[in-house]
Amino acid sequence: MENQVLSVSELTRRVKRTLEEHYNGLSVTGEISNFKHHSSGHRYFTLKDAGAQISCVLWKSRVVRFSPTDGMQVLASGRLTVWPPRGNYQLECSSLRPLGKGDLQLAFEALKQKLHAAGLFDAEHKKALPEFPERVGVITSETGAAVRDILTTLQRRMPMCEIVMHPAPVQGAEAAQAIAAAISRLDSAGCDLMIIGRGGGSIEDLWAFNTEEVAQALFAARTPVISAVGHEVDYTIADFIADVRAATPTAAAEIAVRDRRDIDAFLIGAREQLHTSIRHCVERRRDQLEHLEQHPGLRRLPEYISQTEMTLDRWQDQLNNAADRTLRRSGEQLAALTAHSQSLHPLGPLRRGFALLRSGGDLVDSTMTLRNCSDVEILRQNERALVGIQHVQTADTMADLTNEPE
Amino acid sequence: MAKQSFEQKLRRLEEIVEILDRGDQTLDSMIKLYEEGMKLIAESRKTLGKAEQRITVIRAAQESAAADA
Repeated sequence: MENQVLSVSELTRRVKRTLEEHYNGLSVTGEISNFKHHSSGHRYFTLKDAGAQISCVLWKSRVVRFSPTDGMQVLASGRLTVWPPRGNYQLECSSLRPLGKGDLQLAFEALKQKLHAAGLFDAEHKKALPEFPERVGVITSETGAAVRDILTTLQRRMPMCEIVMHPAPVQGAEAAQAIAAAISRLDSAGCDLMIIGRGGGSIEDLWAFNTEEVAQALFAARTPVISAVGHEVDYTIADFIADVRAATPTAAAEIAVRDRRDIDAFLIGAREQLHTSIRHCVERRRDQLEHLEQHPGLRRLPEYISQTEMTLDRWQDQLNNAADRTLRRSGEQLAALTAHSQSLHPLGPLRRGFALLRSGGDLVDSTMTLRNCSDVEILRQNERALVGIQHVQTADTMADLTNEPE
Repeated sequence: MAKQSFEQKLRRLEEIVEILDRGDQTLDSMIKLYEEGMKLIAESRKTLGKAEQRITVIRAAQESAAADA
């Protein structure tokens, strides 16, 4: 083999075989640098320590429970592979874990720090829960206490509420991706709110809820979310992103829906209030009517009417009297006129004993004198006399003539 | 009118109770509101009375297949 001449390909093939056979299933510690998350989903980085470095790849299908960043000390497990076209070798990682005391805790804090800095926990992003949801989405494992607790609590409190269940594994390698996908899917299923959660467990068991994938899916959801991961003491990244965090799955269901007995009590109360209000309203108006009837203005109305009637009667009487008087007066006038006209008849006064004088065949009226007459003819109603005149006296008034002459 | 959600019904009912309590409407509109309120109460209580829980399950079959590929 000493002086054996090999082609580059042959040498590389032998190196590849040797390395890949002997460095399969190894673990190496180092610091991450030059970390690149390619758009294909694969992750490329370099692991280094004070004296050396090695290229690493983490395929898309490999799940890590934290966000690897430059400077982080990690434990990478995998195998060495050689890529002949470039003549280089790299560590193909099957897993990657943060190193040090409480490595998951460190990763948790690192992600929490990162998302907090990015504003994903800000109160302004928190959505208000609907008060009376009619359709509740549930994301949890199909088996386990959590789903039973949530469903029985919802059934007990608000059986009218429809449930859209999206089962998802809540631990294991695929959990994070499955939960994130379920969140996106339920978000467009027309639910009024979502409950996402699982029962208690170790930090490894809860890890899916500490991944950036789930965090981003929760942050992107338009549906309000209640998280209930683990027990009271367990806080996950999902709890910080969710709109409301419940201590347990049962508590999440209690927060999600009101007890129907409370709402029924409200409805019965509302019915009472409506009855009372409408009764008051009608009573108030009846009181108003009665009050109006008692009002001096209205009480005087009948008086006013009878007074008016009396006035009208009086006027009627006055009218009648006036008419009578007019008629009577007219009658009197007519009689007077008749009498007067009768009195004007030349022979009328003869009936009352007056006489006409005639001299020489002509009537002697009041403008003529008897001085030049020797005799006159006296005409009365039923007789005529011829008389001779002895003496004629003249005076201005009748009274002067009725006095006896001297 | 579009179908009211349960929440909308309860909100409307609260509103009606408040208006009637103020009592400053005409008797005519008060009676109309009263009737509307009674109808909402009856409908809501009927909805509340549904005893059977409806559960729809969405499966993630396609997503799992895609993830494995």
